Amino acid sequence: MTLDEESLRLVGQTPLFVELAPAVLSWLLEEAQSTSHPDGGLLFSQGDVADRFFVVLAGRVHLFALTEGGDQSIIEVIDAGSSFAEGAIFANARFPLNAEAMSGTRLLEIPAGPFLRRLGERHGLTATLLGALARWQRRLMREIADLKGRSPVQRLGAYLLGLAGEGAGPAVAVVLPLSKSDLASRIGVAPESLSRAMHRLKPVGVTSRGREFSIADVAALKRFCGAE
Amino acid sequence: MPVDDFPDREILVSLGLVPLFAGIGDADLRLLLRGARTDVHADGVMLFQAGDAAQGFFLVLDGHVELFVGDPARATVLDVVRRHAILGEAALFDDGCHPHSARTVGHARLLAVPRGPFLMALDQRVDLALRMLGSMSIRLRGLVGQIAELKLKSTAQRLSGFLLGLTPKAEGPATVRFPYDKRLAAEALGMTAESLSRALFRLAALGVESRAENLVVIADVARLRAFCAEESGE
Repeated sequence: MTLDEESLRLVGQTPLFVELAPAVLSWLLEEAQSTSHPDGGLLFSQGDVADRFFVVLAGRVHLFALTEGGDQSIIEVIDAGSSFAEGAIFANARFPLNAEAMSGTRLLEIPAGPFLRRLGERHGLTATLLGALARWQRRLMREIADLKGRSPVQRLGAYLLGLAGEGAGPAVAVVLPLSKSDLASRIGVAPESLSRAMHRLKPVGVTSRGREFSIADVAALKRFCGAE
Repeated sequence: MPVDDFPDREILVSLGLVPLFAGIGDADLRLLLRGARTDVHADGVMLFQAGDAAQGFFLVLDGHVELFVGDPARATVLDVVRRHAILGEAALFDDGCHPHSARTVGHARLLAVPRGPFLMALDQRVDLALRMLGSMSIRLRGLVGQIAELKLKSTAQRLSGFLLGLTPKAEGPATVRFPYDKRLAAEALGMTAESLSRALFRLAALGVESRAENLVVIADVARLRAFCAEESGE
């Protein structure tokens, strides 16, 4: 099967594959199948042999463990554009958790055998994937440091600075690419705290109208956010 | 200081804590790290510049390194990376040029791994490359989990605040009832039904028990109040 363009684009954005050229990616994933799960359902159970891994093309997958009482304890929610279970296939192991697709989910299922074989056939391919993961690790470490070390107000400020981009200034206007409730969840604050946080940024020169924010003094906001 | 029996014991031990090298045996580490060296750098030492062809990558053993673009005197800092981070990963790409510059902040101890021998070892030993991809994926999944946990904490705190608002008590046990079903409550709290159920699960450890008919039993109101006030940063 050849991947359609839209699937290829989505798969190419996952942290693992982001550094691969489209032609290489489509060769690497030639044996992959896209599957639809209109009614959702169990994809694999904990302890099954890991013979494939997945990229979520649309919808959502829950990775869960079962409690002693038989309840699902959701460990992770995988959204569109993310891969899962690749750790298990690299390690040639068994799935460590159960996976359930929500209704309306579309997946790319990548069989382990051909994928692993092709990884070894092309010079430099594993190195590229490792490099991509190293880059992702740095991003995750940074996000953790941000969540731990900054107040919600500083996190909002840092997010706005990120939108403004490098070298912006001295004053700049940015437009939120997402809704305010999505922004709240993105930076890990309650929606009602978001407006409070926005209010607290006013003395630092940040004003907003709808989704448009204007930063009067980029340097001052940077100092406030503790962006070293 | 390139050493004959590099890497030495101490380095081998600390590499076990690094996602890229976790679980790799000593002999294989020596193969991957042929030509590598550790150096202690003074403050402000330039490790590489944007646009340079990447000769190798670095692993931060101690200290901090600043990644930036632009003129060093008026740099725009992209990130300050710390222990166990890798930088210069462009060396692992086909025609890798560094997309940014890097310099030390204060003293920093770095492991410098040259590109050639490392790439050769990966090509010769696909089993090893796959193991590294596996341990890296699993460890990064752990970091993703930590991020979710940090965000969940704020969700759980929000939910606690909501539950505490339903009882006049300041301490001791209390039983409260969701004023509407949980899906609506989730909406009112600005979270999905799934995050509400995960947050409830998280609160179980604090003695909050969800019962039938939208009832919630709080074992100790004061304890839940304390959790609500923890490091909320508000």
